[in-house]
Amino acid sequence: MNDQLKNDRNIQMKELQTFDKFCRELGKDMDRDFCREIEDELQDCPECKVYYDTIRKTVQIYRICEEDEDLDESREKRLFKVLDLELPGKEL
Amino acid sequence: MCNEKQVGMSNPLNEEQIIDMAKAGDRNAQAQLVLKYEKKIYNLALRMMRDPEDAEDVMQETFLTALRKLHSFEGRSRIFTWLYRIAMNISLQKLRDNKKFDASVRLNDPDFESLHGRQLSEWPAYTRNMLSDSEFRDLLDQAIRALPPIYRSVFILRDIEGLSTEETRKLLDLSDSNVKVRLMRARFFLREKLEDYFREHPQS
Repeated sequence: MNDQLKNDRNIQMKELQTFDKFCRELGKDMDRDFCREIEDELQDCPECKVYYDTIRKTVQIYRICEEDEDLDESREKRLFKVLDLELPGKEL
Repeated sequence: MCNEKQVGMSNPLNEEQIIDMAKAGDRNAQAQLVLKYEKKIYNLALRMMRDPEDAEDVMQETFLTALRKLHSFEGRSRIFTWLYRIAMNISLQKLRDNKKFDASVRLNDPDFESLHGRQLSEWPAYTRNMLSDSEFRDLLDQAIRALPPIYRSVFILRDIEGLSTEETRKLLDLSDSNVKVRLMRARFFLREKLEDYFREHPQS
């Protein structure tokens, strides 16, 4: 195998690895057909690679920034009052 | 009627037992269920409603409905997905009622062909400073507020809450392909909003 061919295959392998990782990160059950469509786009579309990388970053940013907030005590007390329940200890 | 010692103290009961007791009308078991899921339901509602007061209303209505209908819970799904379903239905109804969004808005599929002609720039790696910047946080919030609820719900359940396509499909009464299409459109919509920010703040 000549160097050029080896190089091309290495690039392809790297792209596929990136692509696989992308699919895994965005959804474990993302269906294969959809992933293959993306794969086809990535092969000859550098803009698509940027696009998908930014989609991945969008999801990651939201995952980080939409962190859980604590439920403050006053809201919890009102909830139990509305439900007419006694607020138990929190040992569950 | 069970006492506090039976429910979750020195000899904790499992969730199935607590649910059975709650279904039978045990108030302490019902309280334990509410206590266990109140924070999750509040946060789901907050992500949908984008307002703490509205989220509190959704949380209260969710548990009022859940306790009223608990006898109909057959255990075919996990209790938290059953609660999520109630909370999501209430959230969507409230969003429809208060008309804070244009219900007719439909998002388009991304146009791969047009990508070839666009000048897309890579985004910088995000940093802790950027993620805690109030201007950036406002932008994230405004972008998700602008996302019509039918897309927002799928994005939140799949990408933020981490539910599977199958769980999301069942929870929202959608087909598999509907979940995937809505998720793809939501992601692209939010990406476009962030793109504007990164274009204006290339050094972020």
